[in-house]
Amino acid sequence: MINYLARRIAISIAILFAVSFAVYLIFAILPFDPAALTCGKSCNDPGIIEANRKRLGYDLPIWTQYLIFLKGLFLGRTFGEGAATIFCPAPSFGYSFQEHACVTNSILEALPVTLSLAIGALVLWLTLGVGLGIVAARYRGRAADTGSTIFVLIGTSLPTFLTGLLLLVFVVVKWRILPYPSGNYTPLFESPLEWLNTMILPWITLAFAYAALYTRFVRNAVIETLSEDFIRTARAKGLSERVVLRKHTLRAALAPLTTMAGLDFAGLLGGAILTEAVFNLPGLGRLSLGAVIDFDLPIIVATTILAATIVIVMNLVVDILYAFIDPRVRVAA
Amino acid sequence: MSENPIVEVKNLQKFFPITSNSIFARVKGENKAVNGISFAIERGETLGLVGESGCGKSTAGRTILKLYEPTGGEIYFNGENISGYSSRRMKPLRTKMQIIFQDPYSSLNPRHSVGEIIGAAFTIHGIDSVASSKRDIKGSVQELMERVGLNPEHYNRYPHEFSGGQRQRIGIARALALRPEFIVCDEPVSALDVSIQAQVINLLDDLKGDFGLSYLFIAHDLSVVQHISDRVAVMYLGKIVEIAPTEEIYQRPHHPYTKALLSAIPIPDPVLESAREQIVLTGDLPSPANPPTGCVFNTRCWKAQARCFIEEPALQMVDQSEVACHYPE
Amino acid sequence: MSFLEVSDLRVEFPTSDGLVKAVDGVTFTVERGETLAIVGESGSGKTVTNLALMGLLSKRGSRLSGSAIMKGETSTLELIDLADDQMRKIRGKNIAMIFQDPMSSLHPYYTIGDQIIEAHQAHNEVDIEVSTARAIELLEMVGIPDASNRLKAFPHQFSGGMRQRVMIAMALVNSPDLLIADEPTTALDVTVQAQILKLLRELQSELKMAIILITHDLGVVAGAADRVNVMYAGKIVESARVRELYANPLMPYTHGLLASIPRMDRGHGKRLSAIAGQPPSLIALPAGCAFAPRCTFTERVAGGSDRCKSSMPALTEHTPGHFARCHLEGAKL
Repeated sequence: MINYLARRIAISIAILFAVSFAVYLIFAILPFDPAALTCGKSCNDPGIIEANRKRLGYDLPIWTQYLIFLKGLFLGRTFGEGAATIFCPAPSFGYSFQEHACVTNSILEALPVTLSLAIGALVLWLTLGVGLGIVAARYRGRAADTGSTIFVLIGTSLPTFLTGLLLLVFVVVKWRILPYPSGNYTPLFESPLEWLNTMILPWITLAFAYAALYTRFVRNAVIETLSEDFIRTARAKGLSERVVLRKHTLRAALAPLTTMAGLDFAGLLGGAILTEAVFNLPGLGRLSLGAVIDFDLPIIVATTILAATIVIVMNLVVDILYAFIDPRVRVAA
Repeated sequence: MSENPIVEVKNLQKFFPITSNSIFARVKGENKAVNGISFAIERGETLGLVGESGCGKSTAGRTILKLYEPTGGEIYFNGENISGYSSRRMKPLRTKMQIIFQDPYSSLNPRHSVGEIIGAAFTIHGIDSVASSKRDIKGSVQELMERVGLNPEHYNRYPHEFSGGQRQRIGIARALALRPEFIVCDEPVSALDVSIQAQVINLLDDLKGDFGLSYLFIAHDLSVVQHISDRVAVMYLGKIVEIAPTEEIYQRPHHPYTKALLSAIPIPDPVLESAREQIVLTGDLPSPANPPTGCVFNTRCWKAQARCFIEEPALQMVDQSEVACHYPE
Repeated sequence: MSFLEVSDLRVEFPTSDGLVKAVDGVTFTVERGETLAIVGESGSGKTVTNLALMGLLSKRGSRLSGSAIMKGETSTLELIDLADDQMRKIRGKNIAMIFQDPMSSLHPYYTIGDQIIEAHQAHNEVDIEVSTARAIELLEMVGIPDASNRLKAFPHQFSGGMRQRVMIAMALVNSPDLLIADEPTTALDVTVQAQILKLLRELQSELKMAIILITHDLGVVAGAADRVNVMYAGKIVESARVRELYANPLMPYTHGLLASIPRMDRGHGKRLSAIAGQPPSLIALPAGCAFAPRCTFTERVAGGSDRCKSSMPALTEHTPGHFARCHLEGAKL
């Protein structure tokens, strides 16, 4: 098991390096001049451009640039000389001229927003999806099942931005239950109530779509597991339906959910672009969206690498969790 | 042995790598599914290949047809060494060597009609060789269907509309479509009910004469093999431990494993069954990744001596049988 | 007095194609300490009969009628239509069951110790240590070496034969009066089958329990059963002591089945005598004898083949203890 873990972690690190280099390479071969982009759209003063090129190291060969980038990740990085020196401490993803800030700072500002959004939504949709799915499977073909089917149908067919807009229109504009999203984010520890007010609608919006998918998945998984031979054995032993369902069925039925939830969660951590846009949340999604529109290369590189890292780490977490759940993975035959 | 067998294998090996489940697949070992077997099948002969699950009999059948690439050894078909042939060079030979699978449920494409399944063989291998037009294909397919005991009017039906036994007949018709010379029957009746098994065995026996076929008949059930085979080879852990004319192997088994295998089969007669003495083997099959040194059967053999743990016995003639045992019965 | 008296048991499954009469008026008894074999091909109703006795058929998907009276040491119970919680007390305690596929019949996520102990705990209010000791005792009884350590192993760490031994240990943990063994050796190799059959014989003579052995294999029956019920299309068509049945089959189906088995003691090269045709669909059963369309003896019936096709013969006793359902009325086949 420890061997397996060590190997998995080593492989993950290797993949991360490969991904970061690939991202770097892709942006290096794109037909943009990163130095020209640093001085705005209407700027065509070759002097400033060349100065910025030198300042940001875009004059060096791509390999050297990548090594400097890597070095910056671990040791921090200084841009320019003399009075105009800017130092971005480790881990430095570079400097964004559009934002006039170290990229790491921009990301660190956006990350808690996205994290709050993703975790809250995950808790909500897991509770709802798993709960409804189990009820639907348990009372298959009856009213509860039909109800869940309708929920699944609506949840999977309503696009996120529409759900979000509907919530905004009714909850905020018509009924005035919640204030209009300000575009700012209040951290949980500063004002929990304010935080909740900001996050609750985005959570519901995101969770609605996922909960529908999860309801359908859990319902099918539970029904399939209930027809397994080992469930017949459990019943033949004289166990109560409760034990059969809780102990024997759910663990087997929900194991594949770990993979699904882990990867969906990782996807969201890269930024829920639509939801963040609808609710004006300054998260990673909005940051990357802005960066793409402005050709803010350092931020695009950073958010891409971050998203890849999250997916790789979550994959690892999921595999470890799976080994805990399923002894066939953990214990050799 | 005659000079002109239809199929001959010499020291055939097929190993499967055992990999750990990481991204950089690391080969942890080798599953020696078929570990050096040699035999020949004469034209018109049926060779039964029996053994328990995991002994490598199915792998052997598939490797002979080059559905698996052999790890070592030679395969001769009509005297031609095909062991190194690419799949392109194999293609013209494919019409002459066919296979019938065990599970008539999963081996037929559920979205194709019976006519399409059986007729596909013609189209894949070029129409002109056997039938020259669509109408001819239908005619040939229906002829085949009738021959294997299916109603030719069911040409347009789909596999799910047939019972297990009928599906196996579809599989047989498909294998026969290109008039092969050699068919590997891989457990063709073990998924069928008893009363249907007999129908299919009888059918295969009839077709053999009518179409001039040779069979490699793979089964775990010695009693099934007995009815259709001229000779029987017994496999254990990737090796042939005994090969002999059918009558001989059932009357006078020489290898202890053959003896135990025969004795384990229940006789459907309560009087004989209670009177006979049974050899009940202890223990399980060792892992084919790590077979015992010396004789492969030594972990379960009641006759094993020191020599059996050191020296691997080669096949040698005992009466009319070839037996791989230091102390044959 | 018989341990179990089943009379006129019927199980019907409503399907979209029509009513499937899986078990169609089955009557038999099981005596204490005997082995009763139920032989038939797929779809003959042998498994459904026993699932019905165990109350393991879905109440919503099936219709059950008839009677099955179990005579315990202190009480007499009607198993059909017994309340769920009462049936649960019988299952795994008075009547236990083992199944065809020992791999899929054990829960892959729990150790075999967990699963056996759970079966004991379900029917005994004792400390876990008592159940653990009982589990070890049973594992030793079924021939699993190093039992106390093997308790901690998972099913996938055992071979097929060993898994079936674990299933048997689990079934016998509460010393049932009746063990229903549903194709217990079908998924196993012949040499392992011989081991398991030998084990069942030994355990039966030691524990004095009754066994219902469900199988399609007349070879297994010959060595393992005291009495045999042959089933065809949901009905018992012949019932006799094992030697009597093999020596003197009265129903053409039994006769055909015996003749169609490849036999090692009969020399090779002989053509097998197959039963032509297919078993009937359970939705559109013929009015008369279900076997009539495949039967080669109908011409010998007084009244001719029309009688076989139009009227269902009754299960009648021809010699003491030998019942057959055939218009031939005991003629030598």
